[in-house]
Amino acid sequence: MSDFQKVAKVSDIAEGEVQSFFINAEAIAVCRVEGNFYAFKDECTHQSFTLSDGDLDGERIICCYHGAEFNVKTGEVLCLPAVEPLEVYPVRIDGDDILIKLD
Amino acid sequence: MAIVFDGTRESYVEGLSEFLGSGRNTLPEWVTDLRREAISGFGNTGFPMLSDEEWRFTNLDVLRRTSFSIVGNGISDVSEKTVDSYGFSGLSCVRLVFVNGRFASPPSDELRDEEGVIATSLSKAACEYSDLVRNHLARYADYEKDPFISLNTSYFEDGVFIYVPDGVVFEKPVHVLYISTDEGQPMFVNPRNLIVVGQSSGAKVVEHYVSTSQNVYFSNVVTEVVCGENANLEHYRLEFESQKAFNFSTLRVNQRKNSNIASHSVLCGGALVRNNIHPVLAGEGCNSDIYGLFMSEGRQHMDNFMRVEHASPHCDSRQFYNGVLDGRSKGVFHGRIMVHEGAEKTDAKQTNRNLLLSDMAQIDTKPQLEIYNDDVKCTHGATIGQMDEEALFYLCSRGIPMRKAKIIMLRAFTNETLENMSISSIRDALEDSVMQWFERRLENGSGR
Amino acid sequence: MSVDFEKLAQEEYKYGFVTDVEQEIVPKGLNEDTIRLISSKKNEPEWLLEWRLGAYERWKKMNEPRWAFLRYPKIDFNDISYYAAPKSNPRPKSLDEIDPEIKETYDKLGIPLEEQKMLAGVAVDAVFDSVSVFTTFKEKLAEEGVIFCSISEAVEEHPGLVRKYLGSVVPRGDNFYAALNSAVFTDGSFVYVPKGVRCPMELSTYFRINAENTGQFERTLIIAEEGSYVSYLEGCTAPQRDDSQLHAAVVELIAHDDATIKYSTIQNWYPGDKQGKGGIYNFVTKRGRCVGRASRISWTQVETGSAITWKYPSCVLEGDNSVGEFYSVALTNRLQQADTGTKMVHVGKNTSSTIISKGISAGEGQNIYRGLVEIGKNAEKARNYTQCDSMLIGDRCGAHTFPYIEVKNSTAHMEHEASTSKIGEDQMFYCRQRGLSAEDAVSLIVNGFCKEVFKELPFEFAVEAEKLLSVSLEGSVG
Repeated sequence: MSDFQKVAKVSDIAEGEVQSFFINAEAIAVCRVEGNFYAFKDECTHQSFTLSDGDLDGERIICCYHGAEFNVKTGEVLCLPAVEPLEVYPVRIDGDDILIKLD
Repeated sequence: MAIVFDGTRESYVEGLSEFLGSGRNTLPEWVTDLRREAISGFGNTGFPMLSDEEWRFTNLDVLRRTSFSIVGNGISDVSEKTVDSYGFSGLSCVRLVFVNGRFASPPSDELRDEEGVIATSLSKAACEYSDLVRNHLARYADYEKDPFISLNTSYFEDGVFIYVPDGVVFEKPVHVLYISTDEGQPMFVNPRNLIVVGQSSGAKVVEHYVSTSQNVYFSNVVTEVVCGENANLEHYRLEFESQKAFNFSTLRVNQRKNSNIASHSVLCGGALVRNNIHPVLAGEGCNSDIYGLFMSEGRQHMDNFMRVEHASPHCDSRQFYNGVLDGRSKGVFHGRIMVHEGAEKTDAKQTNRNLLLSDMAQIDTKPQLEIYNDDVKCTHGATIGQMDEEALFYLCSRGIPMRKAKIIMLRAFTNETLENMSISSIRDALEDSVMQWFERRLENGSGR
Repeated sequence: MSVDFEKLAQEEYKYGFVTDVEQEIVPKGLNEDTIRLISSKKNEPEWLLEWRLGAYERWKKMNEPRWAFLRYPKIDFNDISYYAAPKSNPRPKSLDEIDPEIKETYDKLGIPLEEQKMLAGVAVDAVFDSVSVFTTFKEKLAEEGVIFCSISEAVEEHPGLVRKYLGSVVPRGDNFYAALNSAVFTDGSFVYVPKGVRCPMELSTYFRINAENTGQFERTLIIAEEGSYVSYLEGCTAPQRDDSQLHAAVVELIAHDDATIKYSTIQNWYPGDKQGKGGIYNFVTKRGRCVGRASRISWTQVETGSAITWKYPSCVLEGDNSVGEFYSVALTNRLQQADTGTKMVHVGKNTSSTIISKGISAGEGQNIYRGLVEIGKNAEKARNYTQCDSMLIGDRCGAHTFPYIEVKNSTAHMEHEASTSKIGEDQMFYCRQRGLSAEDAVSLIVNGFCKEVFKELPFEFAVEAEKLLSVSLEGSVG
């Protein structure tokens, strides 16, 4: 599973939007911020809730369940109650396809 | 014709009429009524949410948003040779085979012996031994509150039916093999098993789940067990399915007075696994021993949910669950001991031990005691760690190479649960497959 | 010899009186206007009003948590008044300016506000419904640079500190009750201990609910700078009323490098009567952040009151070598229910935590220990020791233990012990044949059971806690 896999289409995601996709049982959130695409595990590291249910504010994703915040580019925690960084995936664009790499 | 479910609650509720009209439902009319009743349970609950305390560690959004279909014709594309390859060498047993949730008659040894022991498919039994099946089917597994039991009750096509009459000890293990094949689209299968062991009787049942290819499907198993007075049952659940499968299973046991049950689970396959074990010690003086071993790697998620209900006095229960986790996998052990009012002199013990082989693996353990009686002895314990460095050092200092030392340590750890199996050929085969699994992990650089 | 646990004698709740004081109570109901009204009554700056409104927006989208092991009727949040304050001088400069009725109330509660009458070495902030009525020893503390005042006063006098730390431990959207509190909090205490200062006295807040049909939403913020030390204690009581009242507090603690915060609670809110009528619903979010290296936060609680308790004082151990502690005694008698415990979140290396929980259930009480120990990926060599013991007195009560252990780092070392027991007949026999009454014997045994926790309390309060436990248990055995 070490290759880039297609997860979504460029046209699926508008600027400033975040959406959820699956590769097998793995939920993956993809967002577009200032034209760049970022992909991260779609589960808050606090209690596994779905992050893409929350709001995207620039590079910041805010979990709507308990208020935790992360940077979508680096995975860094920006606000409690989460303390563990978010898993972020390398992204590659190939035409209209968004590819990500799960290690 | 495939019946397609898009993941929404409506699709599973509304799909039932299509299923009933499709000819896949070969069970008698009273089961149809049961199915209709059961689906309303799912209609009320849908798939559980994380905010539901019993599902706290497993996010099921993936089920809500993935399509599955009821499809396929059973045995047609599985050769007898393939079936034989899943056997246990040296084991003399009664073998029953199900392919994609449907009974495969030719490779199966149906049984109805002179003592009255029956081992056959549930769909046949529901017609031939209607009263017997009707007395027990769906009487224990709660299809109103549990959404997976509700779906299984609504959509099951077949499964095993085993009946041992009063006073008969059936020594030969019954090996029930559930094979999943690639049907070209993610399928939804619902094996349903019913095991009835009469008064002062005994049986050994091995449920064995395998896949012929690494494909995506949703397997939702429900097994109901009735253990009569003074009866002994040894039950195995061996789960070696596709690494991409969604595997949900429930074992619901009803124990009468002075009965004994030993349950062994070994979980190895599946992308998302939920293993529910729920014995109710309903009569006085029961004994329940529950052993489990789960091994995960990659991004596997294995959620073990135990609920041991002490409802009568003088019952003992023991739970021993060991987990070995590698890669980025996540394990869950959620064990609840419930002691009801009136269940005096309960003696319940629960142990969960976990070995983390990688820096990325994670374990969540939640051993719970729920006690409504002041005359009980209940303990629980959980440990989490890596291989004991001192022990490894000791072995190495005695001239054993590191790799071998690790294998010895892992064998000791996994044998804590496997050694309780009474069927030696199965125990040996499992030990081998555990070792093979671990050798593969070592080759990938894990197992520090 | 057998003990008859059934005989129930009604023991009066000592603190159930009502103070007759002229009060301003805002109309019931929760909306933006209520929040604007509270904010304007407190002369708050614009940013705080915005912060409250943001919390309210989130709260509206949240559902009341139902995962706790508690049964209680649905709360109508529009049937509560969110602000109640005595009409007299809102911020007295000296004791003479306090309404004599209020002063008498605190005298009756055993908390005289005159400094000379106080226990030597304890400074008190007295919170009456929605406002702080007086804070003692302020000047003396100021000499050391310690700030101890009501949070409303801190918003006006030290806005920089409040703005920096408010919500940094418990964010507005953390949970349903924390969001509610963030929207409508009224008063509470503020403590700031500067670098290197060991706070010269115990700090204490006494919370009193007096008004009817109101909720109390206090907010406490304690900041300990590098190398400082502070010990803080809170006590709580309320009048005996037939309707249940809501208390939803948020407490945030921040400990910097080498700082220690010791936070003790003696919670004795009105528990409701024998039939379970009335009593306080106590839904509290308490969390401390050990942000600094080798910092330490210690929670000690004695929970004997409230009809419903939902409370998990937590430590987030971010700094390497930081320490979190939780010592708890929770008693449920009659129809009381308590779902309480802690969360120890290990983030930094070599962090350690200790959890000692003693749950006692009597009558038809339900006592739940719920505790989380989380070991993060980078928490190398983290350690936790958990011991949770339950004691059942009688056969109609329940004791439940729900530990959660989440581990992402295998170098962690965890020990967990749990036991459930009853008072042994041989123990009773021994005490009785030495001439102790059954009640005294139970009290003696229970106090022994709780000793490990009581020894963590400041001395004067340890005595108080033992007495309290005896009183709360009276009538559970005969």
